[in-house]
Amino acid sequence: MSGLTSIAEMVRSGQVDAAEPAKAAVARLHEQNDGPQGLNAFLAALSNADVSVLEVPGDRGRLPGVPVAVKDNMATVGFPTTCGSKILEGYQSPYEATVVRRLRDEGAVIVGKTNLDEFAMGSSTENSAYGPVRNPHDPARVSGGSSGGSAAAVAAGIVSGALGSDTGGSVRQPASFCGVVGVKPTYGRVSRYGLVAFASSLDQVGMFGSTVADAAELLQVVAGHDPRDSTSVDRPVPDFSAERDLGAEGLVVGVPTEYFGEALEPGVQARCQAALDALEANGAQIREVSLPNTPYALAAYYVIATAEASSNLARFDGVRYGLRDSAGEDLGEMYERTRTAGFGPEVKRRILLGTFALTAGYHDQYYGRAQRARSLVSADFGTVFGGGVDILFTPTSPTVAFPLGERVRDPLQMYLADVFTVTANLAGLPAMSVPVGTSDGLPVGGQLIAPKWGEATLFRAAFALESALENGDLDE
Amino acid sequence: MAIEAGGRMSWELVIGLEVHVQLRTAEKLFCSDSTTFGAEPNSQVCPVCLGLPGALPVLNGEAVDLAIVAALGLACQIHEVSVFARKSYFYPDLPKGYQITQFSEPLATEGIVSVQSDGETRPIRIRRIHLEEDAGKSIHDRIPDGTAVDLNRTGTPLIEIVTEPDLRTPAQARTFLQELKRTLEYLDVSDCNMEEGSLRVDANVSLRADGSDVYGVKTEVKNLNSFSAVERSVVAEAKRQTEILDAGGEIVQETLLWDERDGTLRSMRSKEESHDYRYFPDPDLPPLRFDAERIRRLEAQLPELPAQRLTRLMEEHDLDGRDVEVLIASRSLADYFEALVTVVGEAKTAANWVKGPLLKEANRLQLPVEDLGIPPESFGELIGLVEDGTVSGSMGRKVLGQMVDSGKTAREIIETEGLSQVQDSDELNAWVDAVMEENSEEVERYRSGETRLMGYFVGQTMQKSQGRADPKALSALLRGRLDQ
Amino acid sequence: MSITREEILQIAVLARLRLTDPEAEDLSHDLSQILEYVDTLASLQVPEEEQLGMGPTAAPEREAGQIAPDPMAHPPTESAPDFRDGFFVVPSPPSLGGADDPGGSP
Repeated sequence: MSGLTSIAEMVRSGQVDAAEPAKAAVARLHEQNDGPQGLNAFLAALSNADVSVLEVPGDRGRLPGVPVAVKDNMATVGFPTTCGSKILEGYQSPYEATVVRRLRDEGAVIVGKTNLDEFAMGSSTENSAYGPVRNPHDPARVSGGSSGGSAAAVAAGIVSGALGSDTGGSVRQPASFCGVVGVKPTYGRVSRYGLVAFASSLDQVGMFGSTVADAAELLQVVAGHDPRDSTSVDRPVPDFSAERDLGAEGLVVGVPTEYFGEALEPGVQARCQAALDALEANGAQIREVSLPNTPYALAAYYVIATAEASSNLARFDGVRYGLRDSAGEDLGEMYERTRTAGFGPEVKRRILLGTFALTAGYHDQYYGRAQRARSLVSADFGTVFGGGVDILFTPTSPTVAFPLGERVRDPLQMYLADVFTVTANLAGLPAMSVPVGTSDGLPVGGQLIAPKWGEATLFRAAFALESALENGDLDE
Repeated sequence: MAIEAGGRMSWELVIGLEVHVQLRTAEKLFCSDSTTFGAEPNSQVCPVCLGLPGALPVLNGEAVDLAIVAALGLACQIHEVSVFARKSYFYPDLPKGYQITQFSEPLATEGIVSVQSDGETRPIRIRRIHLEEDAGKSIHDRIPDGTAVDLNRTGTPLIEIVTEPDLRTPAQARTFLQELKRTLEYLDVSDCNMEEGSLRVDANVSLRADGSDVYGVKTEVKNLNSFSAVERSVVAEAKRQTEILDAGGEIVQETLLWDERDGTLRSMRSKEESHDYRYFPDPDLPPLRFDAERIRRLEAQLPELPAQRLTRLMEEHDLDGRDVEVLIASRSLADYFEALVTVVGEAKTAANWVKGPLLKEANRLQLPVEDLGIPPESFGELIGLVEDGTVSGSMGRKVLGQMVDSGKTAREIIETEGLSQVQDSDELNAWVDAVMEENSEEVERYRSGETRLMGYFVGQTMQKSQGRADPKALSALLRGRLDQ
Repeated sequence: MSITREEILQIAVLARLRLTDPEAEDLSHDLSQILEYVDTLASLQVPEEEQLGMGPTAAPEREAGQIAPDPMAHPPTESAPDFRDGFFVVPSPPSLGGADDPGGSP
């Protein structure tokens, strides 16, 4: 399967008709996605008929004719934006997300919108109102979440790149479950305008790629200041792949003890250890470090994320768009009926938790404390990176992809799956998951975390890991 | 103000005001839609103010400048860092389900407005000024089976001005509002038009035993559409609370709606007694930060405030302070006066004409001077015609009234109706002849020493001439005739 | 900390959600469990100073005319559940005059 850049080159050079890659992608999509046994990775897509008459300019931008997929919580014109929820079933956004516009401006073809946990809340895509996404490596298992659809689309080879969103690990964890690359940029690197907000201070648009280069290419295209997003930072966009050739030589890799413990499945532990050994063999220095406030991170995350979410989801009220249940007698009943019918159980659970954390009586005890805990978590990273460490390496998830249905009835268990990924969101740091092998045939992801604005270092280490894997350095 | 009742407890009335003022910006607070009043419903909306999924707020710098200017004009402490917060509640004209406002860290605090009350100057403290976005409009009586919502107004920049409970009488509340409005108009930050909704007032009313320093339970009065409504509703609420307290009851904290038509208050108590707005800092907006330099720059460019204008006009034109106070009662009047001085070339004359005849016309029609249809140039023309003797002063005042009613110029009216002053001795003598004949007794009395009857003869002749006789020429002539 | 069924129902009102009794029961159990986990934060020595902000340090400000309103592919009315004569239409609130809020009066 060609990478994004090679497709672009083939189209640009005329080797391939501009619409051909999209046609092929759509054909693969319907073959693998549709039907009761299909992946269910896409909620909306171009049909084969649509794409057969599609006009694609062959000379536009960096990615002419390149098919990509977009998670269904980003506003698009043409496809509905459902956020995996009944409350937005069929909703047509009248405007597009900045990241979508930037992809289109560079010539990419958006073949469809991918399935997700409802409003990005979940770690398995089992919270989607439109059914879960099957893991391409094992259809009886989850693809991870919340960006499960985008991860599966790339893992199945339907597209070489896809956009997702990452609030507490929603790009990295499904990337690790599906054996693809998944990146979450520094907070403020990529515009959130048009990304339906879950937790505003944690959300970032993320990207999936079959290879590290694919993920880097997507980030290169969508990154940069957006005046329509007051939280995007006005900072020049560097060449994220500039340090690729430096390899692992001289890289100081920190390994936080708090991320390696009993919670880890042995197979995950083994693959991560092998990854570290491979980096070392290629010239990296491995150093044990500590992020002592890690145990508080998950608790802080769940308070902050749910508090912000409870507020961000208040706009879904049946007044101006989306579902409205008008069976009741007055406005109050309309609000209640609409929101009760429209939101799934996990979303309700989080709205209630978040609302509670912000109530006058508990605000300081929960929301206030969580925000202050957040600065402690950030400070830990600051100390470590300030002490000569270039990059951190951890497992992305304690386990490999779990069976469908296994965790649905235990919300707390589900939340614990995010334990390694939430810290990067709390601190706003760039992080990514890179495949580091398999365990019992299921993909394992290794997580890299870099200092703020350190995407170049992040990709340097990722490229190094990727070539080590290709060279067989990670084999036992 | 102490409210006596039945000779027992004496209650002190305590009033605080919350004033919402729309800032006169081109664009909304967090998006670029126009803020023009009166547009087609739902035509000035975009993803941001519609609260569409994925939309984000971007702050309007002009609104921040105007808020700083307002805070400077009200002598506030301005905070170089302030924070936007979300205030959550559900209502159809609040698209996001929260309002972006400022809560624990507002733009400004601790200001003062001076109010004249019973010959004294009372300082009324401003507790805080903060920026927030306006909601849309919910119209309940337009559609029989529902409520119609227009979101044009959603996102319009507001400043909320909250006073300390320093007002003690309904009249003080009214005077405070007039002074606040005047200051904000002078600063050019808002149209301050209660009819169009660019200025809205809620009153907080409580009573406490005379001499006590503990505040009583306060109620909130809303739906006030004019300053006099504020005054009257406060009177009504004070009365209501007095009756309850005198009977030994307790005041319940609640919100009351003022009904303008029948002058009554209606409780708005709903199922949810108290609102939990769950304020928290808006994660979509970093803190508002500006430096002392920006404040200095705005201060240097501050439009002239009433107190400064008073001093300047007194000095520049050698006018009496009390006269100038009348002339600067509103910004538009002060501007009018100054424009008139330029046309007429002499301040005292202009001042007399504005203070007297022009304001009289304005009161007669219940309109501000700039809406009388008499621009300074036209008024100046009339004044010139009186100064050069074409018409008498009293005729000039009549002509002014006709100018207002007909829209014609002074010259047109004087010519059409032949109102110019008569100095011609033949015409004057003819009138004097008639008057002397009809008043022969008085003539005798004058000639036997009652010279103060001159005034009487002047008056009679003026009447006879229908006001057209030139008073100076007439006096000279009469003296000549009567002294014979 | 544990949340009772009654507290859950009160919070549900704030969030405009209607819960059946079994749902309220389950949720009070779920949330109590989560809150017990979250209560680990209580033992943390937290700093009193200003929190870490994400993104730019200061709110960017736009000038008039700097950013155009995002042109919409179709008018907002098309997605509206009930739109008549230029207005979004909703059922009337239980008590008129914006009973629950400050924004209700024009």
